[in-house]
Amino acid sequence: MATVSTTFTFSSTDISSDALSFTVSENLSLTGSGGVVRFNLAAKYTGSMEDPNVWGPRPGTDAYEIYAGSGSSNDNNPSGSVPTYLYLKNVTGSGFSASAGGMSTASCVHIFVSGAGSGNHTGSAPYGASNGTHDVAKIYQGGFAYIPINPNASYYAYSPTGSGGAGLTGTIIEYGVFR
Amino acid sequence: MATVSTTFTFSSTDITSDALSFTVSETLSLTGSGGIQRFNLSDATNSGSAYQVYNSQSFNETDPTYLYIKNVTGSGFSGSAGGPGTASFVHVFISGSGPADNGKFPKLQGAHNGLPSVATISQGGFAYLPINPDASYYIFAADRTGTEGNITASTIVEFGVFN
Repeated sequence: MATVSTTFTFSSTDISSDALSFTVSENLSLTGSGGVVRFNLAAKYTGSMEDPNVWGPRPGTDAYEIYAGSGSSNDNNPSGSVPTYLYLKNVTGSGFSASAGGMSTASCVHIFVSGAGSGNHTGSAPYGASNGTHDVAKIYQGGFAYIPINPNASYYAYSPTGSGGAGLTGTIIEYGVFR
Repeated sequence: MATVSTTFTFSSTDITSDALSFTVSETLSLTGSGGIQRFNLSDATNSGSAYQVYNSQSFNETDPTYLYIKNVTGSGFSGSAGGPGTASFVHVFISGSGPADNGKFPKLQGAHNGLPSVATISQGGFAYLPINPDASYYIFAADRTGTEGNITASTIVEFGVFN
């Protein structure tokens, strides 16, 4: 069994006029293997995609699948019992430690979850007939996410055009799924 | 404008027989304030026993917003996964809530079954998520299978939203 140590440090000297500094650590006991891969989202999807928060959830075919869920019923109660972790970083651009980036021009990686019967999107279109959720994360250039994911759900990444940010020239991500 | 530095280190000496070690850092330029709160999920009474950690459209959709959340249940703050059948897991899901969602999101339904969990945080575990400012984020405590009845003890979380 592999073990992985994760440490997250959050610090500021001026937020709300008080110093903020803490570090959390976690030791993961993993039953499977994992690694970090780098991928150009433009290789999967290069066309125009409107802001999903205006036009509704995306189907999985419009994005790059970074984790395939194990559940056939994607309700709110995951049946998967293996702790699974997703690390994902938007490494687009020259700076790997860039901050948010320009809102209208920078590539922003959007994450959503989907699966068979995902959610109960009752009501009229657009979300009535869709099979994915709205974005659950938006990762700007240089940003990253660390999520203990729901093993039952599938996770997708894409970089849309529209008000969510442009992804016209290639959006590079690196990610790893560990379990 | 406040600045916050986040650093995340991921390391292993034996995963897939290769050493894995990397550190990523990010400097957040924040327009608002933020802090860390601690909450007992057994006290959650709104929205089908879930607790709202972020209300949709509290910030503009183009403003980077970050959620940190840690499940601090139990005596060990650095515990590993915990027993899937009995340990308290913090489930995170998104939904719309009330008029603030402008019809963009399905509203919370019943016992928070509107949308699937997007994260399940085991005891001692944490998540760092650049969230979608248009969505509401909720948390509730259950076992890994989502059965709340198996959780008899309190489930303590600490969380912060930074914008």
